[in-house]
Amino acid sequence: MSDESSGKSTSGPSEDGARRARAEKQLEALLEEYGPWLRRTVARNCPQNLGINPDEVEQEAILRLWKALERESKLENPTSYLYRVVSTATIDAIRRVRARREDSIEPEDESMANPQIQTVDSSPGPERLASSVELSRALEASLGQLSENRKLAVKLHLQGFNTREIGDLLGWTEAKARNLASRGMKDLREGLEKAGVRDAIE
Amino acid sequence: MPLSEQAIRQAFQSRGQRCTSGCPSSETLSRLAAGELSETERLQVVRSVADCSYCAVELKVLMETKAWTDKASTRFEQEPAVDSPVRPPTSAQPGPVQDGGRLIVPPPSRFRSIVAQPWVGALAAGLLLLAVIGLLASRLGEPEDLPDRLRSSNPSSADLLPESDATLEEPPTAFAWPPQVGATSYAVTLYDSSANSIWQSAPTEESQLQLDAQVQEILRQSESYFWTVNAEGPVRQSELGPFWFHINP
Repeated sequence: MSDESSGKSTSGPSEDGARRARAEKQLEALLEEYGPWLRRTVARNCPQNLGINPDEVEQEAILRLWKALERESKLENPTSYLYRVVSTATIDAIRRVRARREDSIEPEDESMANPQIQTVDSSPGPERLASSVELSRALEASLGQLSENRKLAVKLHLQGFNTREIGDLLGWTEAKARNLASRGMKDLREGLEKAGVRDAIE
Repeated sequence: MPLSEQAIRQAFQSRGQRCTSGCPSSETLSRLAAGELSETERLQVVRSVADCSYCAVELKVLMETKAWTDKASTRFEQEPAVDSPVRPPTSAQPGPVQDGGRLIVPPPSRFRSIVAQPWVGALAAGLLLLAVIGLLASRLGEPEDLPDRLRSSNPSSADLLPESDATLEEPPTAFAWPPQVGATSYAVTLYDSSANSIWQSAPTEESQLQLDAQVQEILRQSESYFWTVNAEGPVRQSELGPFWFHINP
């Protein structure tokens, strides 16, 4: 049956029921085989410090899997699809937690909003703030002096990616990533030293 | 004194900079981690992520998830004869062969010079025979309804100490598992229920090991744990498990 006014195809109740029953059966079979793996993957890869409930992520991933099975008659590559539903469910959970925190936390409390930031002094005095702003400016200026590839490698390195990951992300060999990140960091340090911010926040 | 790397990293991440044209969707980041974006898209997203600490944290989670998935996928999809220790390259595919991300043969030139030796044929035949015997022997103890692709990594619970999914009154004093054909050493890794690695054994040649009091003390802190065994051989590596056990509080 087709809905000509909207241009979308629709299906009758019996067809819907059959599709749903087929999806449920496939979901059951997939969970029998991959269920324990799905649980371990969620438990292992959910960030521990954000207060995310892995059970909720797992349920969300299973729900997405079910919807996918209802849409498609057969999943060609189940593990690939499982990765997709686990990863997007995890990231969406992280984003929901952050959004809630951003709504409820004072704007200046960045250490709560960003899990990577660890403030040493929770009430920075004017001098510390000034030196931090100075360092931030010098950092931007020094990064701006780097060649495009070195800058990218350095930024990813400073975000915590290792050289293998940098290589994977940029389509480089690990040796190239290591070389560019290492030389870029050297240039960056020299730039900061020239700008006189040697131990500004030490 | 020059700035430490930690100080530079902290200052960089503290800039609070976000993606200039909105953070990429979870689907896009997921595809980036899976290597499914076109080169142009990939570069565009990576440039954005390089400046955004939020997306960077998320991408790291995704890359770890992907690596973990690939590892599991390899184990799910490999042929039943995973314990076969010798898998020489064919002439159409010379050189190192990746097996679960690990090299299982020497580089081509070295390989060709080795196979030219007369003793290699006899050794390979012997190893192959051992592998077949070992495989048949290990199959005898397995339940019939176990899917083929799970057989190699899931030995029968009765062959394990503690048994898989066992509920114990006290922390286990030892781990034991079925010997693997071709394995020359084993290492056990113990995880808590959140899959954090909490202890790893030194390599051992035996297919069992005793847990010292210190490890047992660690195990009293929670209720559920799982362990895996990494079996190392001269030409390949395989992982057994995970095997769960629970301790009554």
